[in-house]
Amino acid sequence: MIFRLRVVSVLAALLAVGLLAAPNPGLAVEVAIGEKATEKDAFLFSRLFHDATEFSVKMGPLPHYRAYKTDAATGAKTLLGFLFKTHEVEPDEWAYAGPIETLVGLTTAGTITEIRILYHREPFGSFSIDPPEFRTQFEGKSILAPFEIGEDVDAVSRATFTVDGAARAIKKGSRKIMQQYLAEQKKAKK
Amino acid sequence: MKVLLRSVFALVLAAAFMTTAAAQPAPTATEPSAAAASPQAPSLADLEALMEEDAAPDRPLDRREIMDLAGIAGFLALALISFWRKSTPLKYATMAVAIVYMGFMKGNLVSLVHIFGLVELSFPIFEYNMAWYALMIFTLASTVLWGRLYCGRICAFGALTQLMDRIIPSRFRYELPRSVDRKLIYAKYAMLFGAVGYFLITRDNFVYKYIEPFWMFTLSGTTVMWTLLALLLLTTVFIRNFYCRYLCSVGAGLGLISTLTVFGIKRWNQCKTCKLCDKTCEWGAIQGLKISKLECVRCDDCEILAADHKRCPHWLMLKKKQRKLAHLVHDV
Repeated sequence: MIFRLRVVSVLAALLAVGLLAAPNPGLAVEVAIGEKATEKDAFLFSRLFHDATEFSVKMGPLPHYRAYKTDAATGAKTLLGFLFKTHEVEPDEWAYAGPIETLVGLTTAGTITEIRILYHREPFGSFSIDPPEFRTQFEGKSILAPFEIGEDVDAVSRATFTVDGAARAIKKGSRKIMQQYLAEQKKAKK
Repeated sequence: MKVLLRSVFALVLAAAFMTTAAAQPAPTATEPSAAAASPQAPSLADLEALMEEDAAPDRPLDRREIMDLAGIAGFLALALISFWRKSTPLKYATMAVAIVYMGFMKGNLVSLVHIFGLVELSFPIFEYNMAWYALMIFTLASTVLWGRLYCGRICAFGALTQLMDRIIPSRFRYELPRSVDRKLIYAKYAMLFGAVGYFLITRDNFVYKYIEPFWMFTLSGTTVMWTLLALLLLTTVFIRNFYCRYLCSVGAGLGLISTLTVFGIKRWNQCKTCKLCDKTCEWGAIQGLKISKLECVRCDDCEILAADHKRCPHWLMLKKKQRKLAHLVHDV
């Protein structure tokens, strides 16, 4: 009886400590809307949009950056697409052990240029989403594609939860950013 | 008979390794989808229709999810049947399925990572992880009801080391002296609290890789990890269930929960003096009348023995008494 009490109190104490420490994952320094991207991010941006000559500050309401190309001859600036981090747009899309923080490049035509996994805590991530095969399969993918594991996204057995979670966040995040852009354009036309 | 059993187990293990080697995900380069070629932006209406579909609360389960759920339901049913019927062949069948299906095919084991998740109250999304929730709920419920059933037959690694013990000739076996064993069993609690403490301070959940061998079912690890695993398995050859008994933090956690067990193992009065079960128990959980719930994994060995009318002293003494009584009646 005394032992049980001890066990229960230990479990309760553990839980209390966890709760106190709970609101945690503040891992990366997040840039506020209206500010410039960090140097590290900006480096990745140019990898996702090779042609871009300029990147915007962080924009809202759904946090994202915009990639522009300036024509050297005419000086005209065209919008190439958007860059966003899945956990900023879809923070509730978790895989196994938390959000899979992914940087996505998205063209104005609604296709993904490339993605980069920035951070995750997936126990089986090392062989499911970390290998380059995972990210290359999203290159040029339309955001209207089904994003079904085993169909148009490669299934990695033993880690379907992780792959599923990552693909879901990319799909939903991209669609939201695109929706925001299209709605903005519609409003501008009016 | 024993030789036959051993070779069967060896075959099962070999088959398990082979199926997983064959099932290795081949990295395939996927072609960009057809839609990528069209430069036209999707219309707002199309996009919103798709997004509505995504957000639909009554999303039907897809084929893969149904297969996963059916698989785990079937496996858990097999485990429960083997437990309720106290059937040794069925128990070994459960273990074989645990290694092949739960281990190598699905990588679905309760791990330190889940304890970390529990500690910080972060859980995967229910809608997409039902098979995982099924395993977790079963594990917690069965531990409260019967004890560390999970360790005994659901856990793929536990099943692996227990089957190893059946294959490896017993002459290799070395039993640790009781006094050492009694001290070493606390090491797993140190592992558990150490790991949870480390996690709470650093928030680094990848520490599991170095204090838990369950990643082996994914067949992907660093040289250091493989070396540690090899050492562990080598130790297991000589000291059976070494990891489960002395080092497993998940087992330690379940052991703490199992102190609340509702349906324990029934014992006879004679157990006080008889040492038969003490010697049978592979887990060193029995000392006379007392079975340590922290160590017991409900492997059925002592329960089968206690029900055996030909071997258990309880029944033998009962028979003797009955015979005496019959004699008396006859004499009168």
